[in-house]
Amino acid sequence: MESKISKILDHADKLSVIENQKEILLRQFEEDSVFYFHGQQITVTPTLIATVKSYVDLNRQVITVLDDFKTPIGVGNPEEFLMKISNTYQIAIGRYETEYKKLIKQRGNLDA
Amino acid sequence: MHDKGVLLHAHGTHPINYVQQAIFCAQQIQEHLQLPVALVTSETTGVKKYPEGRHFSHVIRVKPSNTKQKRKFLDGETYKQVTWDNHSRIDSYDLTPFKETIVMDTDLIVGNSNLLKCFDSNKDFLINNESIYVNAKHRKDLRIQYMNNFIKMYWATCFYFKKTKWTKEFFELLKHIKLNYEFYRFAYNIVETKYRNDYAFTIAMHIMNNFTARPNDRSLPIKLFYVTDQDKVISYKDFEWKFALPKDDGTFFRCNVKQSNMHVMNKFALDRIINEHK
Repeated sequence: MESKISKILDHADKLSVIENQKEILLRQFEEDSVFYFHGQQITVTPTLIATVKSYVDLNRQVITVLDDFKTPIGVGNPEEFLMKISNTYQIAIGRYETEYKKLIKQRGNLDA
Repeated sequence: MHDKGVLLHAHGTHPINYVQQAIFCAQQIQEHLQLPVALVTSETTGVKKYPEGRHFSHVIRVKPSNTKQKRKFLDGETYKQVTWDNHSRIDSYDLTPFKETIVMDTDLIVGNSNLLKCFDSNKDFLINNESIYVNAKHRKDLRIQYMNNFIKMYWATCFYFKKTKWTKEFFELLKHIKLNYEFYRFAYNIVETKYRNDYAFTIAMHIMNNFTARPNDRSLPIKLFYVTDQDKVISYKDFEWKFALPKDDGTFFRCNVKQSNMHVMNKFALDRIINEHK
């Protein structure tokens, strides 16, 4: 019984190490998602991409979004803006995925 | 005058060689940011070893501060006392040869190009009031968030500024705070007796925000990762840090951080890493 508990504790310990590493990767991903537009800082999120995409679909020529500090920014070319934020996000999340795959290959899957 | 660059301050060569750290720091800056690096130093011994043009675009000599301020850092199992001379940072506005400047500690090792985004910002001053301790899950005691019980710390480890009326006033205020540090230490309920730039910057930001601790709307486009002198630095190779981080029970676990800007507060370990890279 004691050895079983010991194995469980070892596994929990291993998971916490992976969790710590994942947390660092997540923070790096957030850093890589930062984008500047007309001097204002925007951390790109799926919500922002979806919002801008919906305006593009509605054929809006000018839109307004909020930056990281809740300051509004006018966007004159929403389609071009959408491309830029999508690229920033995909590069950032692509790096996150690559590094996360390396992590689970080296240390095991968090969900396994 | 160069338009953009990085300003480093390095005072002291023993037991920790801050100038050597600055050279290593400058090499990483050139690798990732391709920006000119200016060094502010009071070192007079061996100055010919650090000529302008080789590692630094400018070497700016300042007078030594004659500080007696010392700080203890863990080196392996034993604590060592180190002279802690951080006097010239508040003069960055007057000393910088650049129109737009990133100032950083010599133990902040640049690992990616994200700091370049500072130059896309319309703000005249950027600084973080959040830092990320890579071992925060296990050692909450080493995670620093607040200057006192109610004001979040602004980290002078790295900041960006361009010369404007606001930044001129900000640096004037910093000088005033340093000159009257005992008063401000008392007013802001700071227990630590040593002058610390992080505290001076936090107080200055608090005053410039009209004595309010409002959310920081001047954050840098980077996360400020750090390790302390309690953490072991195993290696730094191909822009990847390998650490052994302590848990509560005294054991250690491995942690790797790749291509990130890392504040390595384990100064003795950083010295050893730099010597390995020579």
